[in-house]
Amino acid sequence: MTPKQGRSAADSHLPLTPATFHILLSLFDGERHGYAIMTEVAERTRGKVKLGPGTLYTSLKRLVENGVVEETGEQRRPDDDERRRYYKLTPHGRAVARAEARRLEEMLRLARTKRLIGPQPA
Amino acid sequence: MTTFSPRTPKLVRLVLGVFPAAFRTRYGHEIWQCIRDARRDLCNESFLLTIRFWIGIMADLGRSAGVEWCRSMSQQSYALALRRTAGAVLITAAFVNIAYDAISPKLRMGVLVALLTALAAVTGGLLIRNRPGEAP
Repeated sequence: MTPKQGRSAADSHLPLTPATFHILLSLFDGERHGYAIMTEVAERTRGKVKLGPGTLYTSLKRLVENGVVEETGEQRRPDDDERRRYYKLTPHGRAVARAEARRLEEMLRLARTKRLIGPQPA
Repeated sequence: MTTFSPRTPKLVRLVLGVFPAAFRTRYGHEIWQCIRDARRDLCNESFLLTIRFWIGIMADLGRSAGVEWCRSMSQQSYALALRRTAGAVLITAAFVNIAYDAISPKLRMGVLVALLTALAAVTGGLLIRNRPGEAP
């Protein structure tokens, strides 16, 4: 797949819902299980975004079906007494996350040109 | 497999039971793990916050179940339409073949074509018929 084809394939998933984008951001650093995604999103957004388990898993199901996220199997961490299923971004998923970030950046640029918000901080 | 322990609260089991079976089988246990972890992290919070937590969880699960049902039904109806179209095409092909042979007596169908026609008719009938629990 050429970079152009890859980009258009990634663009076909856009726009992402805020919950989906937060899940992709959470998985961008590495693999996580469901509850780790929920807590990471809540911590990163200082509690402004709280993903419920239903929202999280319906989104994850769709992302797995679309090849954006993949399961890495069940693991048990030393600090955990239970096996958990971990999820990670596929290379296509990374492209989708980047494409959404670019789309949001473009929206922000347009908002700035309309003076809807102030200039970009230095 | 969904294996909810007897310690899973009845209300959670009830709400998880509202999800489509395929979703529940695949993600039910993980959802319950998440709820249990979140509940554990909340253990020292006040009674009011606990009530708020459960209301939030139930609202989220109820909303997600609705979304998941809509998605699974739209996928199901698409597959159903595709299956019935294929069945109708096969039956039509069988009838057209029989009609063609009846109209042109000189071109009697051979054993192989007769078998293919019968196979197409039977397969088409199987594809078209309603399955148990399926909307007509």
